Amino acid sequence: MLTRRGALRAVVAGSVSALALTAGAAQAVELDLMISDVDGKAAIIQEFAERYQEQNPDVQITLNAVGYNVIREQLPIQLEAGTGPDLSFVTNLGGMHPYYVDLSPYVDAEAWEAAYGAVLPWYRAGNEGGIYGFHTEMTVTGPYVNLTMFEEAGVDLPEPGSTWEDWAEATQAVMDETGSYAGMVMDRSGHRFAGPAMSYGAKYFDDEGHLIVDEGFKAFAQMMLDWHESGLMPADIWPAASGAKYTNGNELFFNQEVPFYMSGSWNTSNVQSNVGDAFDWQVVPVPCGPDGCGVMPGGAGLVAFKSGDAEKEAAAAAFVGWMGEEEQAREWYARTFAIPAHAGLQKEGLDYEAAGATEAVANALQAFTGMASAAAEQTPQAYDLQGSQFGFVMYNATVQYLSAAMNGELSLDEAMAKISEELETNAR
Amino acid sequence: MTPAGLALTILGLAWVVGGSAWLLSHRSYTLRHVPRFFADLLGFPVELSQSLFGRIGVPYALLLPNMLIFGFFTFLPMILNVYVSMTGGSSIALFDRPFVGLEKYRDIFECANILIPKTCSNAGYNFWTGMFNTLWFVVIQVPVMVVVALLTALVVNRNIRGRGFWRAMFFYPVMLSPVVIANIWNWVLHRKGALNAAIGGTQDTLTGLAGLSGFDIAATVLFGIVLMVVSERTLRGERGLSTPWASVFCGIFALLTAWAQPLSLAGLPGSGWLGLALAAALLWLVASERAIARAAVIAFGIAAVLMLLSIQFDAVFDFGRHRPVNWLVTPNTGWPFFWLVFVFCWSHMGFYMLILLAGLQAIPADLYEAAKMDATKPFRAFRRITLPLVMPTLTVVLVLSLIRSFQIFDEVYLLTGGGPGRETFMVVQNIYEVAFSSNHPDYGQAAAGSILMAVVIAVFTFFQLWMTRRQSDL
Repeated sequence: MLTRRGALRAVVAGSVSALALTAGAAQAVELDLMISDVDGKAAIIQEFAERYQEQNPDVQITLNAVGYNVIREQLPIQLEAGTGPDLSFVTNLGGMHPYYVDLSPYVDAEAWEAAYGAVLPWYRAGNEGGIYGFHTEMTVTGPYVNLTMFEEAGVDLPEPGSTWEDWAEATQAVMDETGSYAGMVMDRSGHRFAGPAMSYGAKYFDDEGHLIVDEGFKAFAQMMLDWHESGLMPADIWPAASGAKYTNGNELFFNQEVPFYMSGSWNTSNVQSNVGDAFDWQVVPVPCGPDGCGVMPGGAGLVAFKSGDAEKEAAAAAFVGWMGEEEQAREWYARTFAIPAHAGLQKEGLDYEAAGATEAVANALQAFTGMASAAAEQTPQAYDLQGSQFGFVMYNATVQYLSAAMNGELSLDEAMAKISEELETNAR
Repeated sequence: MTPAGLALTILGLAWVVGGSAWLLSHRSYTLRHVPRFFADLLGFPVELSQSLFGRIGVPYALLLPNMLIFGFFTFLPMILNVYVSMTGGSSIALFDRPFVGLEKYRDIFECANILIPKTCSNAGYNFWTGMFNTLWFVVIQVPVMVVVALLTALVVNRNIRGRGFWRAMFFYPVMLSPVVIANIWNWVLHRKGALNAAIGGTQDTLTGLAGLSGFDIAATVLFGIVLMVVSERTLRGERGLSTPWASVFCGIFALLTAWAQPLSLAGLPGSGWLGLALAAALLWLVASERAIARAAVIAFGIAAVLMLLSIQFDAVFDFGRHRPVNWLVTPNTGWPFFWLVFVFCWSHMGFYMLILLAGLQAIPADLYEAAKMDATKPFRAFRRITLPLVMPTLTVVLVLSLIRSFQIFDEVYLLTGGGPGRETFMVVQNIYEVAFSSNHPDYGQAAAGSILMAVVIAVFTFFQLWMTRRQSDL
């Protein structure tokens, strides 16, 4: 039984503990993490954040799931205005370099260089040294095909190595036979466009390393214009919107309104979860052109932003560093069905099926990896474009002015001139 | 404590402490005067102003806080905007931005031919495309809005059944947020939306019916009966020809002309337009009570019967396989622009209808009674009484809707995003995109665009002030 003094001590001790806990909670570093939840990755990073918080009770991470357009359009303004998050998943890797916290003091720099050396320059925007982000997925653009529609139409899939013209002919046949809404769809993105353009000879850089548009670019642009005019590509994606707005073709592909969808590896789990058993699908080798079978590498990265608060910056950088450690990275890449950017894991290979991927997903990721290897040899400028800090200037100008040409507002030559002017103004 | 918090604290303390000291030194209070003391303390700033500035100065002293807030949040940003339009760089911090003079304006005006935006620099191309689209939108939308609002106000001003309900229904969209409006109409106008579903269903049903044997004869008989009833009602109105029934008759006539294609006998296209023109002419004859109106209706009736006998209805109603129209997406069809005008009218018309309704109700009823006693036709009463007397209100509505439609952004941004291509791309969207949705935000360019737009709106505003003053002088 407690004596009066004992009870008093207990009360005092309890109060002190409660105060200490409250004070501890009050002192916890609060971090905001922004993520675009178009592909269900928010729930996974939430689990990682909770695990990290258990190990580091002085850190509190709050997730802010937003649309991809917010990351593309609003995040840079928030950062410029000093109201941005502490952490975010970004895709404009080089363009946002001025806002990144250098992770070098918080990670084993040598180990990171060995593991992520191939992608770290993408974050540096042409500067030397520094580690600025954990590359959460290595992506490759490429096409998804609705096998069921091809089967229904009695049309054979073009062989690997077939050209874009061959695929246009095949998908037109599927469209005619099945009465589908369109034959091919490509995300409204200059990044998606770049790989095929390289297949038709687009160099993207001049001898001085400046971004340019050339005859190869024009050749594939003309094909896109023709396909939209004939209705093989739907008006809903490229011509429908204004400016450089991003639009994807997921809905059309998921609803079996188009048999061919030029998207990318990041979309694999999304395709699996949305398509389910509705139809059979497959990732096929990207169509080729006279100059190769071009695809664009890329991806997203988790970065910590400068906030002017050293404690917050350190806590944010430490979380990114922790995510990039091999143990976490392996689990992250496997669970998100992402191609790893970690050299060791690339060599080792990941067991996606054990993480819940279907056979189609595992095959798709294998196919994307193959396309990336081929592109590295045939169209190496793709890797230079991805690493350019002005990549998004090119992507946005491509979308904005080619769409105007598709709508008949500009001729293709006028659109090319406007893209060149944009590059002269904003990418030098 | 923030500077604003500190300033408020100082102000509060000065009021309470300074006010108490001043009151206690100038007046004597006892305990029973405590409520009066607090009332005096509350009115202390007014008393102080009066003693400092005299009676004439008090109103200005009382206006001062409001003017300060207004100046700080309205005039200062406007002045800063002018300054920003003369700066470059991408920094959001005002003093980190380099001064570039009129460069941003020069970029916008750098055109071979300003009337053809694609001959401009990229900045000019985007700005002038938006500006001309906006002007085109204003030219089309404002007259449509004013006419529809006036017609609606005339209808709900009459003693119809459920008048309150109809007034509320027409006003209801005004209370909706633009986001809700855009979502509602997206559901309707999407390729797989309600409108296409309805059209598809109707077309499929009619195509099915047209395939049945005897459909042509049945349709001819049905249209014949309808034509007969409508002509009879047109010719036997209460006082001569009936204008409402004449409008129905004219509609049927235009439809039959479009189906029968009489001009095709001479190898010419355009029968549809011919039908519309003839129908409009007939309606004008009837509405203006011309002497030949009755003979014209009979002649048109005979022509309609002849055309009716030549139409193959099973071909007219065989629509084949239904391919939904992409109302908001397909370029170069005019549909996205049409729907934008329609949705804008639908969502804002109630507000202008209400203003016009107030104007209509201010017209003395005895004028209509006198007109009725003189056996004046309703259309004539409208032209000679309603329209002249409602004109001042109509002018206000015209100018208000002109300014509002020039500022269009939210509805169009949410409904079409400015597309397809740049068909519905408005000048405010250009300003927004240049500043906030590009990888290279150009605040200077956006500010220059907004200044140019402000100049255009200022012209409309001064026009409104001039018109309002002119009306009040009359």
